[in-house]
Amino acid sequence: MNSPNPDTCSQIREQLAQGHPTGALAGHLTACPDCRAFAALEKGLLHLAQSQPAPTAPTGLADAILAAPPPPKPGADRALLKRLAFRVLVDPLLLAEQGLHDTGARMRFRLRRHLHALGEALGAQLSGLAQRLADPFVLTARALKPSLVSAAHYFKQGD
Amino acid sequence: MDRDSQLIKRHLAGDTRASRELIERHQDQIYALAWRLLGSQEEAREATQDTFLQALAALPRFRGTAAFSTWLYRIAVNACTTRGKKRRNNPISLDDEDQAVEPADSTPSALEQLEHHERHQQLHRAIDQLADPYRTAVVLHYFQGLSYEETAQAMDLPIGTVKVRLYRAKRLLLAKIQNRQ
Repeated sequence: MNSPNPDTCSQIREQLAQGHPTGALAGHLTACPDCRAFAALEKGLLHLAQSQPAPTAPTGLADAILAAPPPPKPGADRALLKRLAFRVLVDPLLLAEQGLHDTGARMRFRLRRHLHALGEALGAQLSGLAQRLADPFVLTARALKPSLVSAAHYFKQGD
Repeated sequence: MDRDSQLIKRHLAGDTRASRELIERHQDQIYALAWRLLGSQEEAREATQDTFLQALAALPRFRGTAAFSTWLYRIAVNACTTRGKKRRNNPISLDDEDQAVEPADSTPSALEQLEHHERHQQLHRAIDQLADPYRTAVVLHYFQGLSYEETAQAMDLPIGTVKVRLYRAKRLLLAKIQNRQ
């Protein structure tokens, strides 16, 4: 039997996942075997998680950690820095060329992530920089998008 | 200032008793996560140790934008991923697994049995077979009890991606369980 309405199913599964069922849930579950399966799985996962005792850390672990030598500091490896810098610049442009509908959000996220990685490699915090650069970066990438699409189209024609 | 923040401040000032307390407050959570992701006590112990060593070394750069425990989870997820990759020669990629998803044939009689204890083993095996990105999301959200937002922070992903990943994981679990009936 098929689900009654995909939109309703999507809402019902969101409710199941959030654990905030409404009155409409019971009626829907009676009629929809797919959502009933999701409800059973949700219950099964929660029950399994609750029934399994969480393993506890072995005795003496804190002592071993405190006695261990600190890990080597990540050096500013030139190759790593070049790769990260390249990704910071190129990734959002590739996304823009692909014309994804959520390009702006993805670009902001990627920019933040790559700058964070770059900051880790340099031993510096670049989150503030990512915050300040996000909007101008997205605007620039969007402005370049028509040119990139045209260029891609031109090269495809040339094949 | 919460207890973790106080301990971090004292750790940074060189107080090793604070470092110990910080480890002891969080080691069970991190060990449980590592054990669930790696499935071996020895690997879990080493991953937990790696996590705390990296965290203590990086604490001067911790700015407190997320909770300390969430930040620690993120380091632990990375440590477990690194160990998991070393262990496997042929990891199942997310794309491969996506292609294997088929809509579950939702026979109510089979799936409703999941509510009973005797199906736990089956569900457990199905979770173990999930590709790492799905299994990590399931373990963090359901077994470690993290919210969507905390799971997203621990996995360094947007919250929408985590929701999609959990949804796909559940479809995969249903398909795997159904195929065993």
